[in-house]
Amino acid sequence: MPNSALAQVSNAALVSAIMLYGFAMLAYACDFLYNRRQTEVAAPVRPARATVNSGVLVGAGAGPDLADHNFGADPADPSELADLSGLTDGHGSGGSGSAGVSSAGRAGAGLAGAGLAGAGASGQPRWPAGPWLRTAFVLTCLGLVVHMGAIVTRGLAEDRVPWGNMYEFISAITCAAVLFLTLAAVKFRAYYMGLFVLLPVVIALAVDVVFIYTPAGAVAPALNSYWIAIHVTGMIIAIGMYIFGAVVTVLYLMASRHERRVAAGQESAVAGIMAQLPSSTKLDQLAYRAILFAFPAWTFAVIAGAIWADHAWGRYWGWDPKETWSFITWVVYAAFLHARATAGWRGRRAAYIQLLGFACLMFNLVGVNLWITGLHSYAGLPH
Amino acid sequence: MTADVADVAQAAAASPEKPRFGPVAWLRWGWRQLTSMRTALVLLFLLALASIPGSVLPQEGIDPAAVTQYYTAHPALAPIVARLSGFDVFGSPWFAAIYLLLFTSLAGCVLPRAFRLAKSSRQPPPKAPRHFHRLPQATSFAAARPAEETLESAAGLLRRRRFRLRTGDGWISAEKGYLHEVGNLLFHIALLGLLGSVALGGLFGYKANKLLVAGNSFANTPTALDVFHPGRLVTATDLQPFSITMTNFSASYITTGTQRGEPSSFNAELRYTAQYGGPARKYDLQVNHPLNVDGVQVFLIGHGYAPVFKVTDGAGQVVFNQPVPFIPVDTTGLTSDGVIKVPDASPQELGFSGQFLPTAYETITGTVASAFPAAELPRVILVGYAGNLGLNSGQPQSIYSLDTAQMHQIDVAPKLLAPGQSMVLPHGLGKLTFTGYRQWASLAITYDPGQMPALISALAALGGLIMSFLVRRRRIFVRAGSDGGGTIVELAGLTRSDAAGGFEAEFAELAVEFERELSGPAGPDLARGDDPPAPTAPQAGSADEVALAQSKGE
Amino acid sequence: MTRMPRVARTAWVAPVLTAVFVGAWTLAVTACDSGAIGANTPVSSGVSFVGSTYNSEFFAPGSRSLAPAVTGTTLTGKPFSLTAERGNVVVLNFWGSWCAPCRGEAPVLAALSRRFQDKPVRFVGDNVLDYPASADAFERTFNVGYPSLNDPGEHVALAFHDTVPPSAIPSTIIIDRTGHIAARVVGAVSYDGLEALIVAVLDDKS
Repeated sequence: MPNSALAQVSNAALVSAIMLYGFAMLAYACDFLYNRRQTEVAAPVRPARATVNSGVLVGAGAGPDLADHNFGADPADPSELADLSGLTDGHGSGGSGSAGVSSAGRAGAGLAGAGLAGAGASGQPRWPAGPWLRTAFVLTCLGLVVHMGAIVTRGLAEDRVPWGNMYEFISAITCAAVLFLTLAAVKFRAYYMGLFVLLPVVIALAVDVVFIYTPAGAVAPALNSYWIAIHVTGMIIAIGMYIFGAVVTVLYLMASRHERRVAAGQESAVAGIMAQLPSSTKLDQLAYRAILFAFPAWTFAVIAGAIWADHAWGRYWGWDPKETWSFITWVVYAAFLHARATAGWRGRRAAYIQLLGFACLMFNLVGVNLWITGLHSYAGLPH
Repeated sequence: MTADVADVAQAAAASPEKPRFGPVAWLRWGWRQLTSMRTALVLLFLLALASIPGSVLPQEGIDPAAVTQYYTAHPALAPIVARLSGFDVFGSPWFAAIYLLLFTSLAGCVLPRAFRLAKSSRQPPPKAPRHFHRLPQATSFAAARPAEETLESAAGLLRRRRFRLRTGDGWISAEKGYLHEVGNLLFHIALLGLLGSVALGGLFGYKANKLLVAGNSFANTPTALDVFHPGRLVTATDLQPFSITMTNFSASYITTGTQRGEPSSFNAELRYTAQYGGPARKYDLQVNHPLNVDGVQVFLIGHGYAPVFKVTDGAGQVVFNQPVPFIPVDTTGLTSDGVIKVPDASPQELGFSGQFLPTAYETITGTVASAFPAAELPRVILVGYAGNLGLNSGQPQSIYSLDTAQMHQIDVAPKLLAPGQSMVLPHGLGKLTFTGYRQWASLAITYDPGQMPALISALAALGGLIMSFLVRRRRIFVRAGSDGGGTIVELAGLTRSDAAGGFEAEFAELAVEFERELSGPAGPDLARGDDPPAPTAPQAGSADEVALAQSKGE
Repeated sequence: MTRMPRVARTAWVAPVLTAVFVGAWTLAVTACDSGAIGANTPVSSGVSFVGSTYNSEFFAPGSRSLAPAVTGTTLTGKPFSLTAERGNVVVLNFWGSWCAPCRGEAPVLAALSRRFQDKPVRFVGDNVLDYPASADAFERTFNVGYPSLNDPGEHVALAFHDTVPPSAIPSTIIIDRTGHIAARVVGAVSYDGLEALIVAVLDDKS
């Protein structure tokens, strides 16, 4: 019997969280408009280094000292070439063959040398600069706390782990996305991401509350297992990070297009915003790091799901539509990681692959639950 | 390089034949293409694309009823889809071709790399290059102590950070992070292991279904099972000889609130023996709580009602008295359809078809429906047939379908029967009595010897993945040379796989530490009579100096 | 001078290994059934391993397995023990009243049981997946003169699982006078076929 008082608290808290996120978005926007601070500026590509490194490609002509640094490259095997070729941002010849990839465009990494990771090395302060950005970040954190409160009270109201239907699930993944936003903001000084991540979060939550709301209730017997805490939690964490990665990738594509237009001497409509954001290579690195975290989390969640499926249904993999689409999502993100290791596919093409993976993920969450019936139909929505 | 080109030109001019690619060379080229990263990318996309129809079209192995529905809904399209294996995508030859190629590509790439890793990890790091400024990370600073001492301290620092060292005349070469490649290879090899585990299950495992009415028992033999899908190398003698009796089945449903009618729990009380004639054990089988007997897992996956009927034929004999499983067709009230066949009734064989309604009520339009899945008001409504059921011909029939081709419908208006009520058939054909109902449970029986290997492979893959993401392989080089009164220390770094950009931070940190430890003297050098200079304090800004040094090294 | 890249001697290991692996996998996959257990409703076709297969095997006297010590109760409530039938040839037929091929072969079995009634041959039925009222009605319909074991759970079939199991319904197993399994017919029997098998088992010197 769900505790209706707590359930109402949960609903109110979620609406409050949406409002707080909305105000935070306003504050971020104001920060863009009014606070012209200097962000890390992309350094120009240094051609001298690039030529030297492309001479390393074949490994035959660069001289014995540099050839030794091809990390044991077999000159006969183009897949073993040193990742230094990756410095030329996607247009070196021959793939580098490693799944953990080369730095796409590290040549543009900036004079500060410490790059994006900047654990104190780049000289920027840890906390956001400017009153608007600070307000926005505080509002974001506040919204996050209230959002978490909404989820916890819902769980207490139902006396179970609060991810048993679509309403609760969307609330959870958006919370995870905002959580990763705040963590990434602090760790990578990526406060500027706030506006762009909160936008889809607020929209998703609004749709969730208005159209997908399901009152607090018990869970179906098939879901009544401790595995829900493992498998679904893993999914939520992975999806939160995938959302973050997708938003960053979109920004990267915009930044990359902006930079190309500027380099070609054309007008760019987003010049104002782009001046406030770091270079496309930084964004690309941030997106890549997001996937580096999300992909193992997704792998873990899929494995946990398989173990649970074996426990409940007698087989660990049955090509149920949800399982199939989880597999498709996994394969596409794996393709993304491979693309980062393949010359000619780094940069924009890899970004498109990541967005394709995200599209598969969204179909997995929404399309499979609503339009394809299978063992996984726990959306909780009235048929 | 140009010398080589000239040689080629000469050689080509000298020999009249053009170099030809023999078949072996073509094979080698093909193999190289197959194991390239680009091919892997293409195959990954193809794999994802090929899985899509498997999720959209109904699949034979998952829901055969939906496949038959598809045939009736799309009569022209369905045979084409079937020809293209659209109803069995994941068992189809083209899907198999894609993942086979992908795994071939994977194996062909990973196995040589594994050998190369084994070889290279036994070798010491390479010599330090002459020109550090060509490397992506480079810096230099002045040190007070003589070159050899500085180099030794540097070696000590690097050893503390667990680098593998190789020293030479005035230089050190250090390498670390072999676990990256180990993790990478472990991940890919574990995927091969996963594939092997799936094959193991496919060869030696089996899956079966059994519908068991409460009070009945069954033994694990192919003839007792309703559905039996054996692996390729499984024969009847390989089945584990357990037998199960279901003494009771109970289901409870939510009675109030918005989720009224949803099931809240199922429980099948079992008594089972693992061997023929062995000791009996008890077990409560529930969803998410399977029975494990002799390596085989038994799952509770469905349930329904089996109303009990007694048929007395025209001659007054009781020719039928048993529960008949009815199959639910509606999830809200568990209205169930079923068929009763009485081939040994005289004067005519009898057949009945109808519905069981757990909580029966009549709608305004006159149809009957069930309001709640629990048997609060159980009723049965049947239509009777007499004639020839077709069973004596020897042709097998489904027990859930009634072939009325050689039968005529008995002219008795179907009405709801309560437990104990009878349907009297005219013309001395007999009488059917609805005596009560039992429940049945649908059990899934699976044996998969590849299950544990698959789990181990999957976990190994996850471990390898995390290892390869967390660790990066890098090399650090140090040179110390005398320059006038002091020593110039040059530091350079190189990383193989670091698109995430963390190496720069690590190198900067290392540079800061080196400067801190090495630029000051170890102690006053009394022989030289110098005063020990003040040690340079570590600053956050020193990274900027590193950066400046970097740009100077340009 | 262009050189073909030097290929290591071990370069052939990988392609050969993967070819072997691929071949084995193809073998495994193309014949295995990927049927998953899925929906909440039973996937049963209701046919329960009844098919139109027919297979007849006769085992030479030296290579027969010992039949299990089957015990049970007949449909009329009398006890039965297979070992007590040593000295007779036992024709054990697995059947059900719901099973169409069993109904098809019933007249043959009834006729053969009468043909051999003066010989040391005992016909015994094993009534599986069935209920007493229907089984009795079946026996009345086909005038079956020999007893049948009441075995709804197929425990007798289980007893045979590691020797010569009845792999379909109907199946008939012939046990010789020393209690060894002499022959098995999977599928509906024909008069001539079963008669020949019984005669062969009767005649062998064991």
